[in-house]
Amino acid sequence: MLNLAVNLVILFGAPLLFVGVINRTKALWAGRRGAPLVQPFHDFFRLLRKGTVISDTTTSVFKLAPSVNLAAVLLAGLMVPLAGGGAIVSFEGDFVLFAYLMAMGKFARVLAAMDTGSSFEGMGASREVLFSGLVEPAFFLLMAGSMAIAGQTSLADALPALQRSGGLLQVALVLGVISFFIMLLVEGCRVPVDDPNTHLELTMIHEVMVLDHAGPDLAFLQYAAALKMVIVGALIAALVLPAAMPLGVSAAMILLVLAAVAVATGLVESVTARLRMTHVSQFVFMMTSNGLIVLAVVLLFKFGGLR
Amino acid sequence: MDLFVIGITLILTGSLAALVVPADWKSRLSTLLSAAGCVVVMGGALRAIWNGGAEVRVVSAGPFFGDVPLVLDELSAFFALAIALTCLLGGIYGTGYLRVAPEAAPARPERLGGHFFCLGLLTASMLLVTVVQHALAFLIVWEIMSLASFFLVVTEHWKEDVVDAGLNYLVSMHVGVVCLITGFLFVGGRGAGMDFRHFAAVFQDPAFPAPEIFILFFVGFGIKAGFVPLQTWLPRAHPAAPSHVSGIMSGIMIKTGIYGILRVVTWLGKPPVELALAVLVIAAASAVLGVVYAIAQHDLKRLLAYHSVENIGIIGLGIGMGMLGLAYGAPMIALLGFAGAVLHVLNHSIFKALLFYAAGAVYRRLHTRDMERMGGIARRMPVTAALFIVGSAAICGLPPFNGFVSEFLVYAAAFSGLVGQRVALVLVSALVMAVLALVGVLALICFAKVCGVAFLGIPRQPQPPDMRDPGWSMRGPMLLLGVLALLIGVLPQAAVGLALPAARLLAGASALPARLPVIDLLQRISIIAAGLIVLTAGLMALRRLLLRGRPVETFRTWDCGYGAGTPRMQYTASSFAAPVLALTNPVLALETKLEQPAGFFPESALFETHPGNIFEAWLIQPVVNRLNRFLTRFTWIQSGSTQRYIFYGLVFLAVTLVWMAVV
Repeated sequence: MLNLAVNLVILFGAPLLFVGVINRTKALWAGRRGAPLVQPFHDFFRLLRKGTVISDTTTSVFKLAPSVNLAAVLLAGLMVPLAGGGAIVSFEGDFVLFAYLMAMGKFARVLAAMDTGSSFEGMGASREVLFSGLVEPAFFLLMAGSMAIAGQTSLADALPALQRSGGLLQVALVLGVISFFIMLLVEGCRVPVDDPNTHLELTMIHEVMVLDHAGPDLAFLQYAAALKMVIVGALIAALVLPAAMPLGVSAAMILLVLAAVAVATGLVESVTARLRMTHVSQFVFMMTSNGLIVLAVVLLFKFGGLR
Repeated sequence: MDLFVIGITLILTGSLAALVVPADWKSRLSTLLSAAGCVVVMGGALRAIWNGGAEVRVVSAGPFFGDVPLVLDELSAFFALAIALTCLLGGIYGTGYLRVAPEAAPARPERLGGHFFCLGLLTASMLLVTVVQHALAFLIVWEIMSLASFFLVVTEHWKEDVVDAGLNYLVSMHVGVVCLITGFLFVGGRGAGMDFRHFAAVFQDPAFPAPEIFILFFVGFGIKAGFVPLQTWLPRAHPAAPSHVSGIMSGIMIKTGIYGILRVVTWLGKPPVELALAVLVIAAASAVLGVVYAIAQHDLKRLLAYHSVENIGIIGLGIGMGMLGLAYGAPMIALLGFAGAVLHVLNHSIFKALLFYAAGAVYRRLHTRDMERMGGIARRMPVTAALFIVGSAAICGLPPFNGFVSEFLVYAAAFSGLVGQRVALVLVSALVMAVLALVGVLALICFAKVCGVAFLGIPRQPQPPDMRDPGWSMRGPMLLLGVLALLIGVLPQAAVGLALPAARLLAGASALPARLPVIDLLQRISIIAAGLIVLTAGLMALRRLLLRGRPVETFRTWDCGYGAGTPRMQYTASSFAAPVLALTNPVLALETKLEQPAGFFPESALFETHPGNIFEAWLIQPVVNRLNRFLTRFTWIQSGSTQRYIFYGLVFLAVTLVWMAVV
């Protein structure tokens, strides 16, 4: 019961804090003092208190989409391993449901964007479906590698398996962390994939898809985007943290890893420039090649006798 | 079995009635009888699945055929159920559609008798294909199915491209039939005769070249199913046919090819691993190439036809995993793979028919299938648009709809293979998972494009004033299919319960426990799918609560201050697909026509892209050209002179008499 409560608090509370840490890191790197860490909370509640403007070309799809998106991402988050060594919901093959729930959220967002009849949103939608779509096969390859080592087929049980000792598997672990970090950059729409600060054409992926949403709809969408980053951060934490830890220690460690990932994201955003659109696909394909290497490493470890 | 026979009799009566009753009654009476027959068949199939085992009735068909066994086992019953359901709803939809369809316009009502005759014949022959287990009778029923569907495809026979597509379809089907005849001759020649029930013993005889004959049957049935590289008839025939026929053909007729392949699998026993791998490779290629070609299309129905190729690929992946499980002696993998494949047959028939019917409703109003001329349909036809979006989500495999359940079962087969101890199995399972994920992603891109460009946004061309949702004869089947898609997604246990007996039959039921662990997984999926709907509703309620008392205005879409946006400024379908197409260019053979704007004050510019098909260009067309060149040397035989034809007859008689005298 306490386990469930702690996990829910982390799941609901961490996203906006995560965004706060990223923004603070970027500000400090740039020599500014930056906004307070809890600024995203203020923004979120301010948006909830506002009214909204609905475009006259849209249908009820536009009104439904932010709710569908948030619901899908929330349910996907329930399957991610958090504190206390296990996810809130865990069963064999849950990673499939996880991936397809995220895809349902994406479908809803893209339909809402196309509903506005604007070329801006269409552009964003077209790029978003491709870039976040290229992440899926790589995710499944990484999961396949983890499952082959773990002998278990649920997210919470399979991911910690790569920590096992054996020099070769450390390689797989590092590659896995890098791959999930790339996935975080894609899902969270961060530099070098997308620039969260602007809505200009050069950086039109996610930010432009939400141009016509306002008020509570925008709050839902931004919260869902932050939640996706926390979800992928929790996947990274599951890779690197030992599985069986007492609840308090586990919760603290997860928050520490999430903070570290947020700082890392902020640093990457401060240091790199946004990639050209054609190069973004190549960047995401890095995740696929990592996944294939991890699979090869796992096979060599398990069957080839290489240690 | 009796219910089955009664049902088929009703359907055939309906089709004959279509020929003889007066024009006003044709469509209604024929459809009523056909629908009643389908309902009866569904009842019989459900009862057969419930009871388990196989119901056999041997029909004595004279000295030529001998005894023709009609066997309704679990596999036949499931396919019969899917066929009857699709044809039931297709018939009802068709009645409404043909009343004011563009295709039927030049045809007078009394000429539709032939159409309904063929429709009934198609339904009956498809149902018979699933139960007939006598080689010659099977081939005859198969041929009737192909011919009936051919005549349905060329309903608009005054259009040249429609007849072209129909003839392409007819020839492709007969190439397949030649393979089937050869296969049956081979097996029959080894002492099995015509009865399918003896084929298993022949196939499992070590001296019999089972893999090669399996491949022969696979090619023959695979042409019907639409596996790459012999699927070129599919994207031509399905757009050419009227929408209800497209729905039936794409929804269930291509699945008779899958039924044939599965039937051959039951004879195989334990297939060699290489065979399973070959099936997996072809299925993966079909899935990926099908969806890539679909993304490039701008004709709505052609796009849906290519998606059928993709889903046949997914079914093939399930069959391949099943065969792999059989080859490695892993009954759970085999069961899950076959269960996924079989359930996807039903699921695909549901959502593909829904998509085609919605597309038909749109075509009927707009008289165009080109997506680049559509847009904003959801404002004038909200029910059709909503149902199309539901069908799109289902075909992408998104929860809470039914596509996810069957894809999950195939994934389950793959991850069951991952935790095993065989290298090859682990590697293949991982790759199958990656391919399935890739296919899902590409399907999502394609349907985001279709829904977004065609149904949402602003109309790109003026819409006709009578544009509204279709009447109840068309709306009813679509609604029912949409509800079924949602129901199977939220309560998958029932549908999987229908598919499991067939899967057990294919996987060899002996080594499996009575209560399967996968049922518990489905329980969890069911809860989460329901949770998605409930949570969405809750968030919508929260949103309404938050917006109470706050200003909610309507304004035009944000346009960066331009103020004069036109519908042509929206993203087009080609633009939406452009990033993906850039990545997949080598396979696509895109023809591009480009006229750059010229001069200082350019007046016009032109940019057109048309997707080709490399299989047609490199595989089919050269063969056809060479055959044509060879056969044109013999055109002198068809001189048109009756005297010469009589002379040919005389020569034939003379030669026959001489031969019979000598031999």
